[in-house]
Amino acid sequence: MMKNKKSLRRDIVLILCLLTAGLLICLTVWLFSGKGGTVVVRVGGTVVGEYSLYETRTLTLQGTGGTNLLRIQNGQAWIEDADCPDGLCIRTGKISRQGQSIICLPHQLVVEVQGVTSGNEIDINVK
Amino acid sequence: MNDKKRSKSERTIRTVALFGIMAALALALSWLEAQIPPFFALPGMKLGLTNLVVLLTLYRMGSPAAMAINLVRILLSSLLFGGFMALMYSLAGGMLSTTVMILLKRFGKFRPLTVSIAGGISHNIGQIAVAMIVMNTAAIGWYLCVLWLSGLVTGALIGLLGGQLIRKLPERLFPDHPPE
Amino acid sequence: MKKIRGLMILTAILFLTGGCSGAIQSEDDSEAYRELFAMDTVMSVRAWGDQAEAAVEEAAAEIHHLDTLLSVGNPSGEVGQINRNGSGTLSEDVRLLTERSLALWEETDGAFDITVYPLMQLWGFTGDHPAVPQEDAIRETVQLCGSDKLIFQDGILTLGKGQGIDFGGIAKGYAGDRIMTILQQHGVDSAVISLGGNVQCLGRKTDGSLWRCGITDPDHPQESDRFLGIIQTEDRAVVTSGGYERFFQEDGKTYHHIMNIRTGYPAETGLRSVTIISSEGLLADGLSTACFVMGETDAVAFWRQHRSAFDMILLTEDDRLLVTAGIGNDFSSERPFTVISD
Repeated sequence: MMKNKKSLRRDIVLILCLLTAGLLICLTVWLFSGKGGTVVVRVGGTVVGEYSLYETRTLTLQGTGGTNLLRIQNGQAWIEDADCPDGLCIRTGKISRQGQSIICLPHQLVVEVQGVTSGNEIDINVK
Repeated sequence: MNDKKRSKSERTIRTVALFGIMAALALALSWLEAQIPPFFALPGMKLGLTNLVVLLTLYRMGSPAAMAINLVRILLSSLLFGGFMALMYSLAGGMLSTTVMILLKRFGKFRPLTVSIAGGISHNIGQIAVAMIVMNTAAIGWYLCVLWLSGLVTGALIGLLGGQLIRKLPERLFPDHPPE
Repeated sequence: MKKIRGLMILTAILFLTGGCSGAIQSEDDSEAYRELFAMDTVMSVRAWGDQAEAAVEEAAAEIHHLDTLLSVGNPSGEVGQINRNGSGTLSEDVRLLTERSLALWEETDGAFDITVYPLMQLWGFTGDHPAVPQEDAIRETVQLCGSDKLIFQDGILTLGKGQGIDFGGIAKGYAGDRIMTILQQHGVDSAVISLGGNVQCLGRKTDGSLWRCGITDPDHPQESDRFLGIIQTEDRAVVTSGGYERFFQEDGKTYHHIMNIRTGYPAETGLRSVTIISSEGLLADGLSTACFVMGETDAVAFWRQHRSAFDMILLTEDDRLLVTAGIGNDFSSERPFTVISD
């Protein structure tokens, strides 16, 4: 056993560095993410829909190999039900802040909160 | 090398057997981990039980052995329990963490606990990197935050346990690589 | 020294995590835009592509061509001549429109009918001063109407006595389909057109996202930021029909321009607006009128039989908003709405 005090100090320094880095990441993420405005849904990297966080709706999302039931209400979005094997997307719970996301790996599904856009922006008016 | 009484072939047999045992152990722990209900709320968040074996191998059998056994473990467990995507995630996480651990041990002479913490974090980061590519999402800030800290905690747990194992396991089990 | 190595590894990890944000950027094609007046309304064509300018030019020419051909107000146009002469040999475009109109008439059980023209004239909707006609006149005119009295044989269309045809219910939709074909022939893969409020889009927006089409709210038809709802879509025509588009008031009562050919009066079926979403403009256009005339129950039943061909958004007079299942995920509204499934 060659371990001495000096080597112990180096270990502590590195662990503290890693801890600080982690906390800094969390702090940055927290600082730079306000309340979200829209929910973007992607399957396998392709955008399949974009919805306002403030319009109540329940969506049946077709992922690769299964479906997830997405609920949007009062500025929050969450997966209510899913037929994926792990059910992690349900456990993720409610997301509301910009940059937060729910990921269902088995279905290659990403539900992501993005910034506030005026929900009424349109490309063209149907009359 | 340092044991002249033993013939070369005897050493080879011993090494092969040890490799097999360690790979089997890692595979078993992989399976065990898959049986634990997912009490963590994020994909990629894992206890990292197999890292115990990688850690042990790294300190008692050397870097090439650690890398090889982990690679075998990943390939086999993906073949047995998961699909292609699971393989990609495991490979990214496993290879990155093992590389980081090897480098830290070799060039930094850090303790098992520290090495394990860095391994836990880098394992999660490897998985995130693949997830980012697969999902085409750059907004993984929250995941990075949560997985970094969870990797730190689980890495510490495995590191404490692994440190004990490395110290307590009898020397004759690993005759070719005595503990430093 | 060793501490520095450790820090270097740490930095490497940080770089690795930060360096993977591979956003895909597509090169912007050139944009072409044209606004024109045709078919008694304002039309706009917006397209992206290397040959967008030429494509839009040809699209505008096609609109003018169809306008001349189909206009009921132009006596020298093909439809104008048929209405005056009582028969005529049909050109390619008009033949196709006639065939589709007769098929739609049959499928919708007469809710869509091009022989509505005499009624529109009687009510004055073809001119500037619509008014409620005499009851006798309405009864007489109703007798004249009906696609069953049309004879279409060997490329020659013969009208019944006193009949007139008007493709107004599908002309803009057909024009939309023609424009889509022209744009595609010029390699355009992203375009959106509005033919007097009939919207049709090609592909997706250049940034890869879906087109957001805001559907006019009958309560606020003039306001540009209040909609009945927004539908997100690609490669679809979105057409709305509603009594709020063209109407007049007489003795405190409102009369709109969507005629029920059986009664001779504006269709009163409990619907305020019908929006049809379909990959075909002609179908969307024709069905928006037909479903409005059918009313909620029949329109929903019709959708159930043809659910692969179109989807729809219904607003009823008692302010219920109904959306069919095929677009349940693509529609958003500040109003509560019900999704109709099987």
